[in-house]
Amino acid sequence: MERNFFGFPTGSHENIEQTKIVEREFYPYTIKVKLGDYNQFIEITEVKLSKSFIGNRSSQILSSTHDIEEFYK
Amino acid sequence: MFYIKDSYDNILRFGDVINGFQYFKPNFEGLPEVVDSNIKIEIIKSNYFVVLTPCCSIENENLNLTPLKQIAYKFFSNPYFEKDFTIINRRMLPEQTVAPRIWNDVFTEEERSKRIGEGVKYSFAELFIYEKNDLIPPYKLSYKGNPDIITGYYMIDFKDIFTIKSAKIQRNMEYPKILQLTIETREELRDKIGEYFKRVPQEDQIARV
Repeated sequence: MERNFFGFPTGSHENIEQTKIVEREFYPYTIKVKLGDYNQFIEITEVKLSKSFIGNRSSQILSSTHDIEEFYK
Repeated sequence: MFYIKDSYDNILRFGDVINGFQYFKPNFEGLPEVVDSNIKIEIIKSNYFVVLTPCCSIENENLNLTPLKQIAYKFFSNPYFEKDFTIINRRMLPEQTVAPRIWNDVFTEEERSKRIGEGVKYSFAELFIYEKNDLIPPYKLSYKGNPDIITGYYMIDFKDIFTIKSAKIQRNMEYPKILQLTIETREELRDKIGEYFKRVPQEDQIARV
């Protein structure tokens, strides 16, 4: 969206910077990043475990156990 | 030695094999919908049960049991297991965990290196094998047209543990037991069931960093 001072409603003139949140996968994390008008980095807003990691059984294999059950089914 | 051979008393202990019970399993079919209208009670037949209440907690009318079950036919595909299935009760080398055919032909070089790097660990976190003994009869295992196998090995699954209640269950209660584990085997059972409950999934490990 093109920045347009007159496009903002009355009373919001001081906050004319447009930002957006983008989500990126850095397995096993999902990171939300706030970007400015020209896609410049502003800040990281959230880091969480990605859904694909949590839902993937092989990623939940417990470190104290050998992962072999599939060979005995 | 897996079991005490003779001269043991009838005081119930952790790991003892006993009989005379039924295994009832509530099945809440429609979870998470209206659970109280969708309950089935399954009766799972088993002739033998294992006491899984720690010795000093056998009291106050409650006792944890788990059925003694047949082992899996496919365990026989691994010659390391076939030699002595109780190897499953202890931590083992990665190359012992699967048949040599899988280790050499199915796993890539990278996969083998990764597993070797993980070192000695348990296999089948929830299982504990019971050694064959004349007092628990052998049985036949069949699998998809393969030759039948007769074995006397049994196993317990920590996921099957259930509780019974009886006014007779009190500290130092006596019950006509069939087999009692040696102190060493009881230690192995304690170690493995302890590990079963204290495992930390990678999800939690990563989230903690």
